Amino acid sequence: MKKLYKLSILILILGFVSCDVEEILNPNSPTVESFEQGATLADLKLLAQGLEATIREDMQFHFWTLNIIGREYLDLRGTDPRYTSELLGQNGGDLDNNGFLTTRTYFGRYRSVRNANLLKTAVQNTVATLSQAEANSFFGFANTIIGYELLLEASRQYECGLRLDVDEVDNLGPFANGYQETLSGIKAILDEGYGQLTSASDDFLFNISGGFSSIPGTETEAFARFNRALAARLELYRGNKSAALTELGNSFLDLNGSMDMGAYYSYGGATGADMTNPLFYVPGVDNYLAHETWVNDAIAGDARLSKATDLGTAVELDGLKGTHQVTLYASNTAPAIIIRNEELILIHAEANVGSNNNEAVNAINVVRNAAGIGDYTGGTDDASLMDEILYQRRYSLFGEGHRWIDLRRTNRLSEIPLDRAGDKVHTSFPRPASENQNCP
Amino acid sequence: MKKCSNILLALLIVCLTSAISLAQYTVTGTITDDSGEPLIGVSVIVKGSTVGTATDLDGSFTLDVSNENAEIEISYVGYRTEIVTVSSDNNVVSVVLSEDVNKLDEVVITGLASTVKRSNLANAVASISASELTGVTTQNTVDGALYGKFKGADIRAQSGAPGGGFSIRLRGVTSVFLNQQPLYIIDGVYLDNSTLPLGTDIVTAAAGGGNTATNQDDASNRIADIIPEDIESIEILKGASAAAIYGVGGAGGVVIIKTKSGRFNQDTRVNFSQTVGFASSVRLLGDRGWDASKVESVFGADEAARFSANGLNDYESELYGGSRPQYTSALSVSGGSEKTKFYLSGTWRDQEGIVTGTGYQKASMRANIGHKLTDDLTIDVATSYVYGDADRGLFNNSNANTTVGYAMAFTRPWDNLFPDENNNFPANPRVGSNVLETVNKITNNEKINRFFGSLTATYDILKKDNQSLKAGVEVGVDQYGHRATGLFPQELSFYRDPSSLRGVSIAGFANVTNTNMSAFLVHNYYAPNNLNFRTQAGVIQLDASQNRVTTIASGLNGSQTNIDQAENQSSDQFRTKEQIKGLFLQEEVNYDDKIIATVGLRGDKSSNNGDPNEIFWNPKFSLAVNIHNLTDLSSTFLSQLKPRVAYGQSARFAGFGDRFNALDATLITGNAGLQTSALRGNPDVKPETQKEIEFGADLGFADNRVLFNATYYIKTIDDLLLRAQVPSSSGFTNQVVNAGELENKGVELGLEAEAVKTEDLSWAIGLNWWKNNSKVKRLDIPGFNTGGFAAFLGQGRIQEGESATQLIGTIDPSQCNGDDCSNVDPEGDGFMKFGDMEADFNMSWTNSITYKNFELNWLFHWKQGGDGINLSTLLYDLGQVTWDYDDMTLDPSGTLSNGDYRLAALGVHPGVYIEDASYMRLREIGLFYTVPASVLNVNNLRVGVSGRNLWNSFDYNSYDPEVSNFGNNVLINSVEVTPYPSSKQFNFHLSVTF
Repeated sequence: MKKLYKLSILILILGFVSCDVEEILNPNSPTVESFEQGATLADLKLLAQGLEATIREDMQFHFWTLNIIGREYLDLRGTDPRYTSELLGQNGGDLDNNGFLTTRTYFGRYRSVRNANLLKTAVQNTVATLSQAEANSFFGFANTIIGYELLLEASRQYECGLRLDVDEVDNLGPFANGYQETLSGIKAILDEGYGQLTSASDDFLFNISGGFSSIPGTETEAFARFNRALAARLELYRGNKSAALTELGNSFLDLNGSMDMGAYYSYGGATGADMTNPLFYVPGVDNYLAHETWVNDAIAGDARLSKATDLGTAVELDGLKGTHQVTLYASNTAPAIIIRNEELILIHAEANVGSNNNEAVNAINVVRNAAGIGDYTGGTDDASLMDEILYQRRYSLFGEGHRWIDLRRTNRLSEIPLDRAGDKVHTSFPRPASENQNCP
Repeated sequence: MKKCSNILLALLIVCLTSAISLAQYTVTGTITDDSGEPLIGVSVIVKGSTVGTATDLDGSFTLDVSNENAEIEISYVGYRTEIVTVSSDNNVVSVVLSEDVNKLDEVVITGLASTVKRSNLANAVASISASELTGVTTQNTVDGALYGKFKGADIRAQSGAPGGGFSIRLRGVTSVFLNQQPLYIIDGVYLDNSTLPLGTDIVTAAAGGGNTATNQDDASNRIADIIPEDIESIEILKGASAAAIYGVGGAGGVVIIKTKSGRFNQDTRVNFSQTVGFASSVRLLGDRGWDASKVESVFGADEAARFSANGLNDYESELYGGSRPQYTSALSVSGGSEKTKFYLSGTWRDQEGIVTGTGYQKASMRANIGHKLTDDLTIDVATSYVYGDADRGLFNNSNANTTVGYAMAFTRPWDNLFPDENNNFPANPRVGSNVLETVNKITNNEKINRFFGSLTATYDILKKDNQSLKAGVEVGVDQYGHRATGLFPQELSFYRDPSSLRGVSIAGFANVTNTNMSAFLVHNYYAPNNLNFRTQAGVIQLDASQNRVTTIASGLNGSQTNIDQAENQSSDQFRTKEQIKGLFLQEEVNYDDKIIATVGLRGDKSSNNGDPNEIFWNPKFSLAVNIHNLTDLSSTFLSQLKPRVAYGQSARFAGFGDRFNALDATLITGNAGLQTSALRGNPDVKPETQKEIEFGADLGFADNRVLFNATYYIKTIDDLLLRAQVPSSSGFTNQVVNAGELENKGVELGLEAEAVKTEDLSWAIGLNWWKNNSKVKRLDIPGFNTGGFAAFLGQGRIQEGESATQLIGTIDPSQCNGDDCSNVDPEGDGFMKFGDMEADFNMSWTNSITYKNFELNWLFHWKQGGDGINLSTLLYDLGQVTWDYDDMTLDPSGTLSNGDYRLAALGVHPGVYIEDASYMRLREIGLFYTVPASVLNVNNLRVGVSGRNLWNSFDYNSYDPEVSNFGNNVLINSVEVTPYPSSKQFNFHLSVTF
């Protein structure tokens, strides 16, 4: 009987132990909630630095899809048939509202917006002692990034419109009604950020990469100039030339400056959680090939042709062909373009057409001479100048995702060359299926 | 807390009631088999009591019996149970036991601590013996050995790569996003069956396109580590109706594996077996039938000139055409004394893959020891150590043209890929990689060091004539280290350019530890009138943890592969931890083997639940009625008639991390940062619950020489855990929510017959037929696509009212009425159904013929219907090198060749890529001869030849219809992207027992 009791006691102890389960917290990463309330200055730095890193996420899909639809270049790698079928409207097909070409960049842009909003909330509720100017540096940084990311997506969604206020996850704001209303909303966000940056501390309280260091001024001044460059681009898109000129005045536009001065995505290479530039193509391996018309339509001696390199042999896939590999970036850690002085000069040119055509010609010549093709000699009427500016944008901004938007805003999409019978040019991307709300 | 202990206490009190003792007499006897050999260790029990003994070395026994005209039950594993009546003047018995061919007397596990005879079972529990498992041919892995051997399973190989990779689904889809694989328990050890990633995504960039899943690396699941040769039996509980008592782990069913053991009082036996075999590709696809004019018409004059200059190379045969050897050696020693029994074994397997540089080696040692400390206390230890080493090759999807399969689709047979005399390979002029170079220069290896073992102690607390109480404690541990090594040297053509990654070295280390502890009491009470009550209660605790660190280096320093010598390194750590605590109770009532009823209850708490201390209760009950024991059926043709019904519930907790809004680490030019992850956390997530009811009947004819069984089941999963798409403008893509109900209905039919049974010749036939249909009964979120790459390439879609495994795509306009597509897309969601992954039915046919000393066994397996998404042909079409490019079999209008037809559909609809993946295979065949004992001075010498997948029939237009680019554990595991081709095997066997 003694044995029996001993054993039953043992079992009861086991039974006792069995009745409580410890709560296990996520051992892999911190959670959002811990940052929304009571973030320290170190936490704010991590969120801000994380935000600059996040804008790189899936941005390649934005540039790939726009460059390919605009027939600037083709993806003949054969790694996914959709680059030659869906994007080029093969057999008359439409873009898939749940396919990665539509959804990945859309999500990537809004992911940045989520992180920017998280940063703003964290700054509002921080336990760190921040002066208003220091707080403004975070707010101005976050709002400029929100403006940039939404502007990228606005050109894809076009008349579908975007949700502008997405701060509350469970109560997302409405879709702006069409392209113009979307741009107005984005302009307000950029303006808010600009106001904050112009009343901010000289330096950011976090480490910003070297991607903005070519712009003159203190860290926040340079970022404010970047903000106005985006505002100028936006005003041009919505056809408001005088406003574009005003914004350019506060941007980093410099008719005598380097074409490449501007804002860039930064890459540290394959170290740790850092990234490589996905728009860098290994020479002779990654078959991103300039569209043949881009090569053929160039003026002999145009230095900008070096953005694509002759392979000496033709690469063919799926009824498409190319001979020149895109070599816009020299290495996988080369910074990727966000917006450059060359674009601002061409915005300056275009914004002057109709009001000061001489100044427009002046700006065109800055770009032409930088490319080594001499001064402009054509007509100086508005239409001729627009033709010329679009031509210069085609070569100056090659591979930067502009051609398709430029031709769409000037009603020239029909000028995009089609390579195969049955191909077509998409006008915009569908609204992602996840929004559960189709385009009006 | 008190709840747990009270039950046990109550149980103990019940046991203290004692029985009345009666006058006794002694029965003696001997037990032999058909050939007159004594049987040792046969169980001899007075029916309706706990009084019993076992036979000794001479097969004889002595037993004290108290009542006159008592029935003595004589049972032995593998033999039919006999019952004899004894009395004080008829107290010497001599019994011959015959083999239990139809397994009605086999015992089947029904609780965590009890078994029941198959003839009394209320569930369609499948059991597979050692001879069925490994007796016909050599098995590569345990999961792969189960094909066609039981009903109700969907077993698929994910590729032909050596070293495993199988999916098993029992009775249909039981979850959409969570682990559907069954729980494996081996000798009481809860085994981990994870698939650990190999980290090759940096090389293949497979996740860099339409599907960001990193499970495209063809990694194997860890059940591959079990040694099939050590297995004595496998039991499969297919759903909650049988597995409820296993709690939350058993929602995908439970596979209970018992390894071999020695026997008390048995002479030591030594068995050595050697197998030598060959593997070769199941099918080769060939090329497009090139000649100069075809090359010129397809690719132009330049290529035609290169064709004439270089000639044709058959790279497919070069890569997959060989016949590769495989060896298995196994040594086992078993036996036992009066108090101790043991089984020791060592196994070595070496298998070359059909692709150069791939293969699988596995070594294991096992020690199973049982010891009786006293008559009342027994300790059993079962331990195993396994070493595994698999070279998997580089196959499946790639967005960088680096995998061998992918690059083949763009390789032209006149491209010269052969190395020079210094083994330098030329770059492929067409695509990024040279397939011959890749197979020769890369390493993609996984190594395993695994220990698992259990200790079980059982103590007979009480032993009276009419009742007994047994207590037991079982502890199991499963611990392994997994090492993934990837070496992609700088000399590879795709890493030669100074601006490329310049070589990649991957080092993944994972440590996985699972432990389980349980304690239980089993009380047996024999009431008057042949009523037997068996009560069991116990507690269990399961802990599982995983810690995985993967370091990837690129920019290798020359030929150095050491990570710290490389220019760039990045590391990723992933940890999981889960604890489950459970309580179980079960009561079985058996009325004289006539009516058998069971009720059970299991309660679980899990740290994966939002509230870790919330208890989830899952009941079960079952009833079987042996009508043939209730009434005399001798006037009919029936010898057995048993209707049965069983019901049970189970649950599955949400995945680790589904509760959290996590922030992930990121880095930008040396500045560390944090970013939100794509998955939105849901703190309110609940488990999904499963309810299963099964009805069936077991029938026996002609003295049970012919057995027929039929089962119908309905399994519903409610509160389905789904990764709901959230508007991505929120900055998240998905959130795990409880949002739907899924139903599986299925039928399982079985027929077993002893067609011929004479002294020299016996012939047993088995037929199994089963089917399952799933349906999404309710969906609280909008329908969504899942799996695959894109709607126009074929995907799955979870949609109310439709099968959970349907394959859909963008609409084929030719099937609409003009612009009106409502006939194919009534919901108007823009997708139409093109097929379903689920088979129409499965059927298997086994035959076992013995003639004198010859034995011939075979197993046919027929899977009818069930579609797959074949994207390999499309990729070959894009490379314009498809084997059937110029055939004219697909276009209904007869105008386009197959290749052109498939390309014309690209971007429009996936109808032509979704193919029927039916197959019929001769899974196993073996012919063996046992040399008579008189010829050689050994106990047993067996020689034979066997084969696996020797005959295959399928229309599917690729290497094999069984394939999954996304590994084993995804809903849509039938997407093909240039996989490792599957193989057939031919083996020679020798086995000798001393």
